Amino acid sequence: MVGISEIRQWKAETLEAARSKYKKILDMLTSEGDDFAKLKLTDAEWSGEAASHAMQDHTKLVREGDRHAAGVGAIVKGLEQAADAIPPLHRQINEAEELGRKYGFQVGDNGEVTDQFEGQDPPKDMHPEDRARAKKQIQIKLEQVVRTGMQIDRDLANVYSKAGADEYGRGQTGDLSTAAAAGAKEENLGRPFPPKHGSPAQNAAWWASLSKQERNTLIEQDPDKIGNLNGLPAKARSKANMHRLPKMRAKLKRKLDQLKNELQKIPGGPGLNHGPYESKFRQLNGKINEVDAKIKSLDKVSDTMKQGNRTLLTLDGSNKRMEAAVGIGDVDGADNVSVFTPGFTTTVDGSLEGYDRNMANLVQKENSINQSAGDDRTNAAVTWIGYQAPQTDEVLDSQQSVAGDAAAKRGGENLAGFLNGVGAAHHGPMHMTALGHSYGSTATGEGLGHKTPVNDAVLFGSPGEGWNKPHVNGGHIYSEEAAGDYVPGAGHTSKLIDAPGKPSGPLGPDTYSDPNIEHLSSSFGQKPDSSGVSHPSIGHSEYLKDNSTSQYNMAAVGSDHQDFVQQETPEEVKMRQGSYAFPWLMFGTPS
Amino acid sequence: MGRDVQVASSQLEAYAQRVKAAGGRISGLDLSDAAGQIGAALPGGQAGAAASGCALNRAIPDWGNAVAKQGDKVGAAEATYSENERGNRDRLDALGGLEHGG
Repeated sequence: MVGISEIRQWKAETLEAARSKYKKILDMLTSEGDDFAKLKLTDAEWSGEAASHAMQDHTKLVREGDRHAAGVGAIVKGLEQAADAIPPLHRQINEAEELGRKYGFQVGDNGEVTDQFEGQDPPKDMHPEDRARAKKQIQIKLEQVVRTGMQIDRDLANVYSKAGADEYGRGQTGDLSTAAAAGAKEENLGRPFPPKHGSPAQNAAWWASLSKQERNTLIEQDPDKIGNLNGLPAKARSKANMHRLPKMRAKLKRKLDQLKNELQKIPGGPGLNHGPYESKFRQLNGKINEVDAKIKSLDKVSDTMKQGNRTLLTLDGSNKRMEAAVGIGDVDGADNVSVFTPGFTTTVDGSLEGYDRNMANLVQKENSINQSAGDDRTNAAVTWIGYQAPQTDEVLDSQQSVAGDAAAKRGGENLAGFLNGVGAAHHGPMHMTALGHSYGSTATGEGLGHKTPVNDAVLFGSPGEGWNKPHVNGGHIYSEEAAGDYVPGAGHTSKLIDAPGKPSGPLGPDTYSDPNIEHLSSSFGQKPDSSGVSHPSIGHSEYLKDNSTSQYNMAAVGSDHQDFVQQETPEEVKMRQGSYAFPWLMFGTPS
Repeated sequence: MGRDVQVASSQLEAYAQRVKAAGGRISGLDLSDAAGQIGAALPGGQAGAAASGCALNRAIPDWGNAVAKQGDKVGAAEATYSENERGNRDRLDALGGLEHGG
């Protein structure tokens, strides 16, 4: 039975020494075997029945040797991979022990975690929640070490069984070197599978327990399992998703051609009534538009990735509309990471490009705030379209309507998983900010009701914070509401008619009725870092406009300079309320 | 039998010698030492036992012996043939040929 105590004793160097011996044997086997294979006599040299029998035996022997060589080739490859896979396991055990030492836990020989402060108070600088989290993390690390270790051992045993049963090679290469190479190629110890329904922390620990070769193999050969796996490093996810993209595109293109072909078979031309086939015609047309939008989404993702300094963190075509998340900067290592969730009518094909530009500007703003504050911390941001944002034609669909919270709840769950994944993959300290616009703020609120590593949040143009009681770790939830933005009011009919009591609509409490939420300005502003005047945002769609006060405030929060934010003043509240008398303001800044 | 045959005696002899030599070297390959290290490298696992019990440990030397035997047989056939007049009759066939499948 493989446990931590056994894995501790595993020796990569002994495996490597064995591999080296097998390799020498293989070299000798292939060299002698190839010589033998080439010696086969021709008819000109010897013909007749005896010759025929002799050369048949020769061929049979070569085939036999071919399979043996393929088997030893597979063993050599398997041992190489197993030897590579051991150091990450030991590293993970060491990290678990180190974490234990930091938080007062001891990792026993067999991986049991004991509390060194059992029955007594731990030092005051050790927060109980941090200790509990550390203990959990230690246990998860060790659990994944054992899981990966067992898999390495089992796979290697399997290589020997298959090699012994001559299951590698087909005995038809005609020379042993080719067979050995084929056997090595056929064998792939490095395809361990992720934990089933693994949490982001489990996925992260699993990934950390793999060798570089195992990871590369997974990215190249199983990208579908890696690309959207929360807890894996951004670069790994991105590489996997970029591998998937062309295949997804080709598959969608085939689907589109097939649908168009089916459509053409329906009697009646464009614009004509298709009689009894009308329903089928409409259905196919809808499907064609759906697939076409997915292809366009992939094109937009490709274009966005070409901007550089991006990571493709999510790419999911399994739902009606494509879902994607694109990171800017070092999402795994930046000191500050902001994750932005857009709202109503958002699609990857229609919205990713613009929001990515908004996030690039936001990161730039954050960098300039840091610079002016003499702060050398780094910033990264993610445009997260990882849910099916409601669309205009879905208003009557109770599961997708912008007037209901169903889509936000599902989005919130996805978002929480994503945020936890970013947290689990991150190395070094991180300050995380969740940004949510419009219906995306409702999804964000729903997400923040789950346990996430988010420290601050900004909900802007919000029709409601959702019903999941959003909370953050140590920081604040802020809101922004621009002049002429009817959406926050539309989410709260009671507010529009100035009804008494706490205003709340179908999408949860109004951010203004939540006493835990601070309200930031989206009007004119004098930036506290002396970089000049910022502009107001008008209507529902200008919050992220470059050089606006609303954007500046988000950048101040995102860069962990909350002291720079400009609160909304009572005068601004009055002006904003007065702005509702001028409906044309909802369309944005007057030009 | 009795049909026309081609025999290049020197090629048969060379074949026999080289095949015997190659087979001899292959039969000397010892996998058990390397296989034995797997258990030491991965204590507690099943790979060690699988490596020690792997059929290849025996099959490769056995294969080397079979290759060497093939050399022996062709060598013996060539020697027998050389003792007879080199006509157009396949004397090797007359001897019953090689033990096919051996």
